[in-house]
Order: sequence, then C-alpha cells, then structure tokens
Amino acid sequence: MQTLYNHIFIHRFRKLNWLNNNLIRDIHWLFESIEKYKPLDPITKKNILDYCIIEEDKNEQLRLLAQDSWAAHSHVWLTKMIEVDNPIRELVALFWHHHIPSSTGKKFEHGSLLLEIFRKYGLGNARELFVKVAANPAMMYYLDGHWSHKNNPNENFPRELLELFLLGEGNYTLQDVKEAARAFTGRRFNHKDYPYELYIDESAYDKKEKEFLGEKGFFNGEDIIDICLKQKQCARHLTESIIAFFIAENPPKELVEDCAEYYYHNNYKTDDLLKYIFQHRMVNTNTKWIKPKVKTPVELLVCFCRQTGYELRGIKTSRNLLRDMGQTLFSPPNVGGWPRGESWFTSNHVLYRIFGLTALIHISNRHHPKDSLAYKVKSRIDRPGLRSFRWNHDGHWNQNKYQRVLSDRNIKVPRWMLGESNSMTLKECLESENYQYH
Amino acid sequence: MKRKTFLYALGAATASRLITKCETPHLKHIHRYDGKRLIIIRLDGGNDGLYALAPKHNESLKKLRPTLLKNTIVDGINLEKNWMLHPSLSAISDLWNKEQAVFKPFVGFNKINTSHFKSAELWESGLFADDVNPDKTGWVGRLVEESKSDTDLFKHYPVLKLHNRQTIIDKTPKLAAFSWLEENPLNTFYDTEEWLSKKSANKLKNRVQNEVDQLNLFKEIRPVPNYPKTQLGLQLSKAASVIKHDLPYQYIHANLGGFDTHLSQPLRLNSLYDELNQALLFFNSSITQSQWMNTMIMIYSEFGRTVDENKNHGTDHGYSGLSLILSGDESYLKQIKNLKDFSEYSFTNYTPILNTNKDLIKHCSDWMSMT
Repeated sequence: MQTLYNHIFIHRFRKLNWLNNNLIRDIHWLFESIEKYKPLDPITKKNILDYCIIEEDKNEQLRLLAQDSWAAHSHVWLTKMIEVDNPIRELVALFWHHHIPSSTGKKFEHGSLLLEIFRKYGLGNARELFVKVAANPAMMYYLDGHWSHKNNPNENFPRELLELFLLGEGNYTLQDVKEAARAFTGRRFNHKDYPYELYIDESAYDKKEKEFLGEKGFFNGEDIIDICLKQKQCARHLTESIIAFFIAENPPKELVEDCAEYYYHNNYKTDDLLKYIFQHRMVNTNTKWIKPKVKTPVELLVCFCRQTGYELRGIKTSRNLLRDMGQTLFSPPNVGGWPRGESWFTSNHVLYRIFGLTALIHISNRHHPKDSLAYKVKSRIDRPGLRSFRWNHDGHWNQNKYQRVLSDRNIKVPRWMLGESNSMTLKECLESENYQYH
Repeated sequence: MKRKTFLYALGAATASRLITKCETPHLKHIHRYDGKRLIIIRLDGGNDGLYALAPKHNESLKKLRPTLLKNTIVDGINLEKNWMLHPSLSAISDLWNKEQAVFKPFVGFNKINTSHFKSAELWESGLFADDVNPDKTGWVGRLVEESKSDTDLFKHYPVLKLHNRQTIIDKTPKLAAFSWLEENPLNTFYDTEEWLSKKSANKLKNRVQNEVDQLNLFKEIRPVPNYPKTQLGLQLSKAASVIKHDLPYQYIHANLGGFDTHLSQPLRLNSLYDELNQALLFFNSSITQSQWMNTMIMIYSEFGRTVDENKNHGTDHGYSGLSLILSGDESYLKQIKNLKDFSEYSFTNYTPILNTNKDLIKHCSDWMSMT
C-alpha cells in the first residue's frame, strides 16, 4: 500500500527521470542518499552562460546580476531544489526559512551565509542551527540585534525568538523577554571581513545576573537558547511547525506530543525527527486529519519543473514568477513569515498560480535575442498578451522528451501530475484546482 | 500650511473636478454605492503617540523626554486642554478645528503586549489575547458577515486592500479582501474567461471568478491624479478614486510603514508625519463635502512607545498609543470626543491605557451600522 510518505515525496517532488525502478524510493533512501553538503555556487561571470537561454543574453544577464544579486542567488537555490535527485536537504532549508523568516541583510554575503546555515545545519541539531542564526548578520539586521546595549537592551530578536521561533506565545512572560534582551546585549559582528564573525563588545554587554524561565545565572545569548531548548514546549512548538510544513496543517495534539517527545529525547536532531514523523502511524494509516495542503509558490514552481523537466532560464525568471505568486525568497511580508493554506489564493496571486505555469511553457525555447526583429515580431503575433510575461521570464522545455519518457513507461499525464486516472492534457492538469494542492 | 502641501491640495481639488466617471461595460453594470465607508490606516511599527500629541506643561514628561518633547511642544500646534500636536500634522489640526477629528491618546489592550506580530494580530482581529479566534478572523470581516450586506448592491466582498502587507483584518473563513495593486494580470492572462467557462463550480473557480470580476472593474479606474508621490499618497488617492466612482467597497484599508523608531526618531517621524499629513490633505481635497460626511478614517498603530527616550534618540515598544478618528460627520464625533487635560499626570516609563482596541473599533463599527 502506498504510504503517505510515498505520496509526499514520490508524487510531490518526483523528477522527470525518477522512473528508474531500480532505485528504492523509501525512507531509508531519502536519508541515506543525501548529497554531501556543499555551499551553493553563486552566479558569476564564469558561469553566467549556464543561466542564459541563448549566448547573446550574457551581457544583459550580467547587468541584471549587478542590479540584483539576491534575485540571482535565490534562483541558484531554486535551481538546486529542482535539479538535485534527493531534495530533502533543500526542503528542510526551505522549512527553516519559513519558520525563521529574515531578509538578506545589508550585503549579499549576510543573506547567503544565513541560507547556508539553513542548508548545512537544517537536518542536524536544532541548537547548533539556532546559535548560528542568532549570530548571523542578516538576522541581526532584520531584528535589530546588532546594536543592543546594556543601557538599552533591544527586545526585538529575543521576543521573536521566544514567541515565533522557539516557544510560541503564552509560554514566557514579558519579564522573560526583558531578561533575554539583556542576555543578547553587546553582540556585534565584524562588518568588514567575511565571514562577518560575531564578537562581544564587553562595554555593551550586560554581565549581571539574569532570571529567565525560572532559572538564574549570568546568561548570554547561547544560554538563553539552551534554556529554551530545555523546555518541552520548545520541542512541541518546533515539531508542530515541521509537521504543518511537511504533512498538513493543524496536526492532532497526540501526534505532536509523541513526535515532540522523540525530538526532545533525541537531542533535537531534525533528520531523526523527520524519519520518525514519516513512519508514524498517524501519518500513514490513521490519516483522517490530513487535509490537502496548498502548495507554497516555491513548491508549486519546483514541483512543476521537476515533473516536466522544465528548465528555468534567466536569473530573474524564478524571482519574478514567485513574486507574482506571492512569495519572494528572503523577503517575507513580516517576521511572522508567509501566509499559510488558502491565504495564498489572494488577489492577483491566484491568477499567476493557475496560469503562470502554462504561460512558462508557452514562452519557452526562445531562439532570438530580445532586441532582434524576429523576437519583436513573434512577441506581437504569438499571444501578444504574454509580451510582458515573455520579457520577464525565460525557460527551456523539451516537450518531446517529456512525452517520450511518459509514453515509454506507459504513464498518462494526469496520473503523473496529479495521481489521477482520468484523461487530461498537461495544460488542464496544471490549471486544475488539484494541482494547487499537495 | 507649507507651500508644497498647498500645491498638492490645489492639484487634488483641480484633478478631482476633471475626473469623469468611466463607463466601461463592467462599470456600467455594477450598482453604485454612495453610503458610508470606513478607511483604516495602520501606522506600521508602533507609532510614538506622545511624539505626535503631547501635554504641553507636564513636568514628569519633560524629565523623561528632554530631547524628543521639543519638536512637539516648542513648534507644535496648540489644541485644547494643554495638548500640543506635532507641527507636521496641520491637516489633522484643521480637521480638529472643524470638529472633524477625535484623538484617543492612550489606546492599548487589556493585557500588555509589545510584540509587533501579536499586537498587529490583536488589532486586526479586534480581540484581546485571551479571546478565542480559531479561524483567525478579522474584525472587519466579521462585521461584514454580521451586517449581511445587500448582495444585490455588494456583489463582491465589500472590502478593498491597498497595500502589500499580510493582514487578517478582513479575513473570514470564506472571504478575503480584493487588493488593488499596480499590475492587472488580466492584461497577461486574457484566457481566464475561457477557463472559467469550462470549469464546474468549485472553491477555486469561485475565487478566481471573484478576482476576475473585480480586476475587470479596476481595469479602467486610476488613482486620482497629482497625488503626493508617497506610499500613503498613492493609497489614499486610490481610496478617493473608489469614492468618486461610487464603487461598492465599504471598507478600505491602507498601511504606512516605518514607525518602529528605536533610533533616530525625530528624523524618521518628522518625515513620516509629513507624508501622513500630505496624504490626508490630498484625500480630503479630492472628495466632496457630502462624500466626506459619509467617510470615516481610523488611524492606529499596533502599540505606542516608551515614555522615556533611549540613548539612540529613539524609543522602545510601549503599552498604549495614539489613535485618531477623522470624519465629516461632526455630530457623531462630538459624541465620542473626550480629550482630558494631562498636565498634572505623573508619567512613568510607560503610558497608561485609557482605551482598548475594542473601544476604538466599536466607535467605528457603531458609526458604520447607523443609518
């Protein structure tokens, strides 16, 4: 019987070439075949051609790169999510980005370092992840942690650490926030030299005794994180967020408690927790609570590309489309993060979600430079309404390969895309209500 | 009044006379609405109410704010009962003089909350922290549902959002506001009608139909021209355009960010108050007197700031903040006006809480429900 895990990963994130039946697609494969961690390679002059659809685009892409290096880097991350065989590392990093929203700081490297923290430590021990996040310049800028002084402790980061990231509201007092703010004073980072290491300005740091969550001591920022992790509520809060992201919203209390207990007693190891969740009886057999989950814009785009073999081209293509669908990576609407569930179906975003993917297919495989006569004529004749879309997006799609791969395996399009046995074209699948959900 | 502000007002008044109602097919077939409207403006970040409105002769305040108080007290605008209004807020003082503005200086919650995220949620839900709200609905959303709006008149959900911020203020389990943003995707995806015609009824189809209907409506509508080229200026010019075209939206919400002034407060707030002032002045000049009679503007911030200033010429998250209600309906404002003299009040680091978010929302919702 197909387990929910199979549905989550095999169906949801299947790749076009994942039809090799020799590979065992199960839990063990998912966690044993994780690609060794390697930082993402940013786009530079040397590799820019890999992201161009035609060679003539190089100068324009370099110009865009200089204009918005973060659009380019989020495109690199997205490309990794699409191309990697086993996506678990990137999905876990995406989860942490949702759970601990932040912007990109004042320099490109601030944000890229934060992303690498999520990618490198996301599957490991949560304590190590949170200590690194708390010391990251992008996070310190986002929540004003870089100028907190013992005479004027800034409460923004400590408050969100307790309320949103670790414990959840109602599980600490206002006084706890103040004490945590004192512990996080004096933290500065080296502004000049990469990797912008944290150091403590002793003249700004509050060395006095603090009392936090019932414990007394001369606590610093790391100590605050440790005390939070000692609370079982912390395990519950993180576990609930993980289950909501990977399985479905509003998990039952029984499931959360059981998984949180496991997480707590297994040193907050996130990969172990995920294995436990994916094999849990309430995720595989007792599944009445699991309702279809709206795909986030990133999931929608990644699923589409993995399932069809579509290759995004142009360093701003993914950023433009995700923005129009309502999600710009590393630019959350507020510290609470992005919408959940059907809140994604708001305003203009719903139209881009439904029609944007087939538009991508339509404008794919551009052969001519955008300043050429051939391009200008084509864009005015062939679905002129997509002119603006065509200008801002690019992609390559081998339709023949896609059809051949499916027909070789005797698999119909809706079965591949939606797990349904009816008869629909690819366009109908992509524009169906079911495609918006997991 | 500054020269720039005067020119904006003159531009607005002129432009508004030149606007003719566009009669596109979509506009021709909607029911026009010229009844009451509530515009809600959130000052995002926690506005320092005492920087906008301060008691003139309060000794405890002078000790706690030796620097920050100067702008408001020395150069400010004299109101009544020893209150001084920040000098940049002349449009509000003009309304005050006409009895078209009410100040509520210290509005907070029943229990203190200094989290941006949580406080914003409490304001938008119109509830307190211990109230139950499992569906995370907003007070405007519930108000619309409870009032059982005339579905012939309000074919769509009569709430309009003019900003990009995430909010629950208009949220109900079924509905959310339409957002009037810059680009109209119908210009790109013009086969949506074909898609709609082929689809059997389902939740997504209904949502898309709703969006498409409203996007078609707004295809020909533009903001009132010559608006102040600021974030809030654009939003209020859109609000004015909705009113001038009698479009069926009863609730409109706008947002102005930047009020989390932990440092360099005077520099930042002076500029933001300028923006607020010009936008309000432009808006008021763009609509007729009778339209203003039927309009109420509620201005609030998720919380106030500390009374004492910090060492970075700023303030930190406080307990209660300033809210304002502006309207051409002077008779109603007279009933809710209640500004007390705070000259003798002994301020501590935190402001008192005289009213709650529920009190302010009740003033507005009561007015909306009055015939």
